[in-house]
Formats: sequence, C-alpha cells, structure tokens
Amino acid sequence: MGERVGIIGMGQTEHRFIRPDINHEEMINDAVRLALEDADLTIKDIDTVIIDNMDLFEGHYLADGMVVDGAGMYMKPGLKMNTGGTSGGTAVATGWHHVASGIFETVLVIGWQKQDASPSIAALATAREPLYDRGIAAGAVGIFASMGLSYMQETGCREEHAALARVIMADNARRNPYAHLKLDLTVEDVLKSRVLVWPVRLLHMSPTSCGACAMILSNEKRARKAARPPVWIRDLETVHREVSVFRGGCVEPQPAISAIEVAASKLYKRNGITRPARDIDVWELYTPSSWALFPWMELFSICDKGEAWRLVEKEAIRIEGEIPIEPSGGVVSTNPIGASGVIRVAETALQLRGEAGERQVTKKAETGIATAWGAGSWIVMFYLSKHS
Amino acid sequence: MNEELLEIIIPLDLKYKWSAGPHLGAFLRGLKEEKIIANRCPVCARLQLPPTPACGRCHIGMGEDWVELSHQGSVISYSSVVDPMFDAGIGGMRPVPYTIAAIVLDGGPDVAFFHKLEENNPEKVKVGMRVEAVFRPPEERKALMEDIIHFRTIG
Repeated sequence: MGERVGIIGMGQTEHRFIRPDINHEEMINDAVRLALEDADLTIKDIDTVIIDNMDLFEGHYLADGMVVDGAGMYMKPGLKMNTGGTSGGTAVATGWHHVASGIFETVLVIGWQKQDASPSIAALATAREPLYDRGIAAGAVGIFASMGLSYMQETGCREEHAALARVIMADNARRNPYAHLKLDLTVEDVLKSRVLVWPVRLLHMSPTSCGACAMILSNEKRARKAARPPVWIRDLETVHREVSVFRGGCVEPQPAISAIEVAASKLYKRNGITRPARDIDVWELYTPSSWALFPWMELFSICDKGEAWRLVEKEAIRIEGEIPIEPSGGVVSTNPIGASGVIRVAETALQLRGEAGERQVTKKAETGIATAWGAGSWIVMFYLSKHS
Repeated sequence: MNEELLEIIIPLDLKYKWSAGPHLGAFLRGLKEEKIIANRCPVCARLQLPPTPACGRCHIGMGEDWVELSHQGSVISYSSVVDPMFDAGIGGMRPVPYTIAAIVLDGGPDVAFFHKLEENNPEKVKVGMRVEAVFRPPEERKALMEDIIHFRTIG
C-alpha cells in the first residue's frame, strides 16, 4: 500500500449563493490559511499543491494560472484536477497517491467553486455528446428523476420519504456553521416546492454555492508530529463506468452491477469490512439530490436492496441515529462543486477527530466513509479511520 | 478604501464544430435511412449503442460488424421534464413539458437508448411499457438524433 497517509489540517470558507465581496483566488487563500493554521504549519512546509474546480462553471480556462499565489503554489510542483462532480474526490485521491508513493511528505489539496460567475446549468448542459444525447438529456436533475421514479416503482418508497430525507439533511445543516442552506423545513414544505423533473422538486436538488475547502495530507512520520490528532485515509477506490451508460442517460443496464457497488465491494474486501452499517460509524456520501440517497445507501451496502427508505422512515440516518449519514447537511445543503468532494472527506475527518461541534454524531466515531460521485456514474470513495 | 463591489458582466458567444467520426457517423447516417445502427464487439459479442471505436469492457477495436436494431423496445426508466431546461445544442431554453425515457431496444444491447416519449402524461408511463420509434419524413431528416421525433406507445 505504500506510505500511510494522514489528514493533518483542514479549512473551509463559509458557503453562499453569491460572493460578490471576493474573487476566487481570495476565496482559495482564505481556505488555505485556515488549513495551515489548523495544522500549525506554514506554506514552506508544503511540498506540492493539488487544486481542483470545474473550469467552465466560472466561464474561463486555466484557472490554475490565475490562483498560484493565493493557493501557495509558487515554485512548487502540483497538478490541476477536473473530473466533473468527482473533482474534489479526485483531488484528494491525487494528494493521497502523492504521499502514499513516498515521493512527497506533505501535500496541500484545494477544491473550490464560485458558482455566482455563470449559469452553472448551461455549463453542465455541455457535458453531453452534442450529436447524440445533448438535445435530450435533462442535466443532473434528469438522472435523479429517473432514479427516484424507478426506486418508487420497485419499492414501497413514496415522495414523503424523499422529502423526509431532505428535512433530515436540512436539520443537520442548521447545526453546521459552514453549511450554505440552513433551512427549517417540514415534509410538507418539500412536497410543496416546485417540480423540476418529476419527481425531483427544487428542494431536492443541491444549491449552486460559492466556497473553498483546503486539506493537508502527510506521511506517517510527519503526521505523528502533527499539531492535531491525525485522521488516516486508510484506503480509497475509484471506478469509472463505460461511455454507453453515460450516453444512455446514466441509467444502469438491468441486471447490472454499478460502479458504486464495484468500488464498495473492492474497498470493503481489502479492509475486512463485512457489515458496513456496523463497521462504519459515519458516512458523508456525495448526494446531489435527496432522491439519490436511497440507491446510494443500497449500492454502498449500508442496507439491503429496497430497504433504504425504511431506514430513512425510522430516522436512523440522523446525527443521533445508528447510521448517521451526511451529518454536515450534505451536498443538498452545500455544493461548491469543486470543493464538495474535499468537504466530504474533511467533514468525515472532523467527525473522527471528535471536533464536529453541534453536528458531532452521537455514536463513537472511529471509522468513516466519504465519497464523490459524478458524470458518467464515476465514483471515488475513501475509508477513513482514527487508527493507522 | 472604496467599499463599492465591482462585478462585470462578460458575454461569451462561441460557435463550436464537432466531428462525428466514423462510428457515431455511421449511426447518424443510419438515422437518415430510418435505421438504428449499433456495432458488435468481436470478443464479447456485446452490442454498442451508439457504435463505438472500442469495446469499453474488452478494449478491442470494434471492426465492421454493424447491426441494425429493432425500432421497438421497452422503457426501463423515465422522467417528466417540467421546469424549462437549458439546451446547449440550441443555446436557449427547451419547451416543456416533455418525457424522457431510457429504452432497451428489442434484441439490442442492455444499455439504454435515451430519447423522448410521445406520451407527456407521466401517470400514463410505466417501466416495462412498449414503445416504437417515430421517424421524421425522409425529406426532413438531417442525420441527427432529431430524425427520430419520439417513441410512441404500442400494444
């Protein structure tokens, strides 16, 4: 496996719809300063910097060249990542590989998005083959609508259950000072919000957020001397689906095994995780719509097929519950896309440090899973532990 | 220091040229002749729709084994688009409502063909529903996906 990799510093900005008060380099710089402060390091201690965003969302190419100073990349090696929704996960994975390889001791990973710059949905609509499915696809919303409809037809799940999942995430977000949407919602409020693509309503979808998140990874030698208790990224897995699934509306062929199932089963097997709901204490799944939560829970084997809505109905996924999922409020509450994957890992690490404040899960948190999901049904997942 | 926040609107109006290539090109030319064309992997025999240069699973060159698919199939997933959706193909908002469906064509690959349904009432659409492609008249076809107007309900 190479060098052990520890998370030794984290910092995120506040997340909002608009940040007219700041440009993206300044926003990145705020997150970097917070992460360095958290790790009690200076930029001189950083060997390389991995950055990520989705360029087109900010309407310009070569973001890398424009943020070098704020990101702390001056005269350092580093890479820019962009893999759609999984970008933040890919950036953390890249940082992990840099440390695990033994080549770098300390890596700074930064994800950000400033979605007030352009209509993100227009950028997202270009993610399709122009001569094949671009004229038909209904963006990410359409994918979650298909998921929701199929899920309701195959199980006993009703619209009320997806609405309850959204309410729980909103309740969690109100306990997270960094969350973007801190809504006080009832199931009725969700059911009354307008339909985008049936059965996905406005409140079921993630907001367009501005924000940045930075994280410092290091090898064991460095992590043992860290200012804060390190959280270990014990393992990770990335799996890609073939193009024809993406072009078929991201609808998995039936019967089929999904990328999530493949990634999860490989990672669980390598780490002796036989009952994920028991062996994993906290989950930060990349859930861009409350409708995605049910298939995600089942594909990650948190429960059996067709059972996720029952766990939601029992509210077992709450911060105080047996299987806390999205204690941060999740992507449906906060979605600065390039940062979202980094935030999933950072929020999980914060839980394992026991420093998640009001959103700290009630059960003893020693292990966690963080994920990122995106275009073409790609998946990046991380297994975190308090123990190396 | 002046506290006024500066924000500047920058229009960006670009035209793109996109190459279909021989594989997607064969599919699009097929539409003009009222055909839905896939290609078959010489190793695993799985059909690729749209036709691809390489099988994603075997990573082998696909060769010239073109297969014409049935125009009929079954809906495996669908959704009803209610909120106006930006269309990067036309650079504007798409008229709503419309129903999109993932359709597995008879004898075709297990991956879905993604298109619109004629039926716009989501209550009348069911998973497993039988549908058939409706093509534009020959003189209106342009070797584009829109040569198929939609899929109508059959049976």
